Amino acid sequence: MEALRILGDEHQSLAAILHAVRFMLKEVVSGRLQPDLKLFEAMIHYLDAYPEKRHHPKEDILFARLKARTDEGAEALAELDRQHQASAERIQALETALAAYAADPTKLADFAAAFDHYADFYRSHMLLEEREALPLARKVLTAEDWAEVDRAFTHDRDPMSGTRGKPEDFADVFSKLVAAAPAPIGLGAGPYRG
Amino acid sequence: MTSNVLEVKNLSVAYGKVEAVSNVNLSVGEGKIVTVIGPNGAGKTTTLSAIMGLLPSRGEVAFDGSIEQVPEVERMVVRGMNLVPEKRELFGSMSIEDNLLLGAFQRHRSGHRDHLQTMEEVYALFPRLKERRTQAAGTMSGGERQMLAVGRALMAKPKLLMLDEPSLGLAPLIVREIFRIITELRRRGVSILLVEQNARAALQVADYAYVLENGGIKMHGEAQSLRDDPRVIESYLGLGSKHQAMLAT
Amino acid sequence: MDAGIVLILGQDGVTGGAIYALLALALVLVFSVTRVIFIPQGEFVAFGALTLAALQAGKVPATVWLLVAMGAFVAVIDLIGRVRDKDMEGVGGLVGWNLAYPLALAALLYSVDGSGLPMVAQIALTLAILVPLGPMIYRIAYQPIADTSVLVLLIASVAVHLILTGLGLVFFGAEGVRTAPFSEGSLTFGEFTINLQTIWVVGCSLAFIVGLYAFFARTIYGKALRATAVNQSGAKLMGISPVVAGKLTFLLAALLGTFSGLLIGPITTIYYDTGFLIGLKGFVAAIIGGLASYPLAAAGAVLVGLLESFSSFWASAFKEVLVFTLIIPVLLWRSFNSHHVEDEE
Repeated sequence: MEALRILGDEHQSLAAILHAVRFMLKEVVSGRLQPDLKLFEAMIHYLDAYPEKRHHPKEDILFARLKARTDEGAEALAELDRQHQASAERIQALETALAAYAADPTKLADFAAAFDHYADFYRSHMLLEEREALPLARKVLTAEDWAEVDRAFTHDRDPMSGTRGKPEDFADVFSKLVAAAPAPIGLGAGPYRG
Repeated sequence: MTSNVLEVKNLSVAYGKVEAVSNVNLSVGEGKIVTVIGPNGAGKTTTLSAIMGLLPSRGEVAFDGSIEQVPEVERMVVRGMNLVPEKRELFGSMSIEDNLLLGAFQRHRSGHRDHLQTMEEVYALFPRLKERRTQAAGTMSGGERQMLAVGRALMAKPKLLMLDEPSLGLAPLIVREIFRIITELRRRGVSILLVEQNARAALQVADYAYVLENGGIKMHGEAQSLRDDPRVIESYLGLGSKHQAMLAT
Repeated sequence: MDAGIVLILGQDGVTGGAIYALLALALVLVFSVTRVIFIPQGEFVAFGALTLAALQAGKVPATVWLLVAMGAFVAVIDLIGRVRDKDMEGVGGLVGWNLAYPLALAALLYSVDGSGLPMVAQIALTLAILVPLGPMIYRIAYQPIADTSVLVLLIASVAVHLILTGLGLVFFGAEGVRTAPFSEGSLTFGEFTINLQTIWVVGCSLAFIVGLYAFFARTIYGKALRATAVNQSGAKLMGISPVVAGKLTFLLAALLGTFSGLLIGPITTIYYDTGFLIGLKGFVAAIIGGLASYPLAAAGAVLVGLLESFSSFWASAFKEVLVFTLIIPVLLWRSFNSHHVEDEE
């Protein structure tokens, strides 16, 4: 069940970025932190590209197998499917809000609101997976299912972090984000330079 | 089956008449990450301190093939065991570079002169330390301190690295980075004994896990099977209660 | 009071200050690494001058027997401990340093006439006798109680001080001595004359200070001592044993104390109990540095020296009173300005 570990790992990465953006926004809003637009952009890009290119495709594989095995949880799985479909649109809205803020610093509150909206959505999305879909998978999938899912997950990638791979090296990006983020959430080496 | 770097048998530690840890058995396989999870006050730090020889204990500690009747911290360091304590214990008024250098004190004393090369390896792992190398350790943020504490321990080229609550007090972003580095160290062949309250993060990276409660081992097994164990999920992964999910990060 | 007198007093003050600076540095070092307030520091000063005087008088200094006795005592307690722990590693070194070395030194002293030796050899012998006493004192008096409070360590210091002063009376009698200067004569610049010994004192003190600085800033052992001072738990985890750090510290303190005695011997008459007062002035300087800052302690030492020499001109009966009264405003100032630096997370 390496697959479950990888998904949990990816969720933690995403949750960490969500936490970081929310923290920085709070600091910027209260005037304690100078905004680092490049860093915001890079983090929002991570929230866009990483689920889109790495994370959701894996979940889709798992959920498809799950649906083939059981009717149980069909409702939750359908909801998760819808959320995966909708996530591109939602992140789009967030990126638009960030672009508007970048062009006009007075739009900070709008960007912060858009982010909170997105973060709440994505957190509850992950929570739904962790509380409904993954326990169900643990319950109904057979050993062959797991073998196959594990193979699909670990194919052509570093099995360690679940975050490496080409063309975009997400582990590397993640380290850069950690380095550039201000203390105490990051190492404070910013501003962010790609 | 691979050999064990560390084998602890019937380890007990008493503070006065109160037994803080009783009859703990655990082992760390070569090149593995083994984690000890459990609530605050379960005796996790006490166990590490006893293995390292910082506290008097009863029982047997076999490290790297030979048994230590009375573990003694200086000898354990010489033999390749290193502890990164919960409080980091850095040399605050000294530079980052000096902190790292002192990590190699025992190796230097026993005639090794490869500390500059080791330091470059540590810098490669933690580029931020290199950027700030001339600054005092006391000026660093929490995440940097933890990195320096790990880097300093690596300067001794340990066979077994023991980490006490490396995620304590750190933001999720840095915790992720620290754990990524822990797995990187395993890839380089360092065996790791990881004590954590953050069970979710610890079980993600570990190969084997022990659950310590009230000074005794309550469960142990492959990290994967503990990750999927309903009792562990209920007590330590917190999915039972709604806001405690991993998103609690 | 004319310029000439000011220059002479200034010269005296700087000379005294240089000696106090060495003692203050030793006190700061010992305190920061081991938390011991090393009152017996002054005894090393007195023993240094008295041992050198005995050698110059052609006698075997009795301090060598103190070395033999303390070495034997250390060897016995350490060997008992080793046998109990079944740990025989490095026993050769233990016996060598604590038994063989003192006896060999004693034999050497009985076979040569110290008065016929060049001064460099006399100084080397004095150091060879006294400096090893530092680590031995640490082993016997402080190591067993190293984890106790500063107050308990201070009480031990008082005891060691009283014992050494008593032994000083037995070894050297109540007579004061003055040793021969390192070089005779003086330099004259117009109206102004400088004793060569003064130049020796200031030069040697500066050399020691520079040397110590280099030791702490450049060598791994010096850094290990600093690390122990900053965070003993952290140092332990690096395998820097508090015992090794303590012994090394006491070795340096004994070296600084003895050498101060050698420097001051030709300037002041030294009695068996003079060390205490000299050490106390070093202590005032160390307090100015908060027992933590080396530069402040050194500056304080020069201040103490100047205060001493000028007050001996104006009010010689109150010279000591004035110097020690200085500690009151200093303590007040420190207590108002002290910020406790905790080296924690």
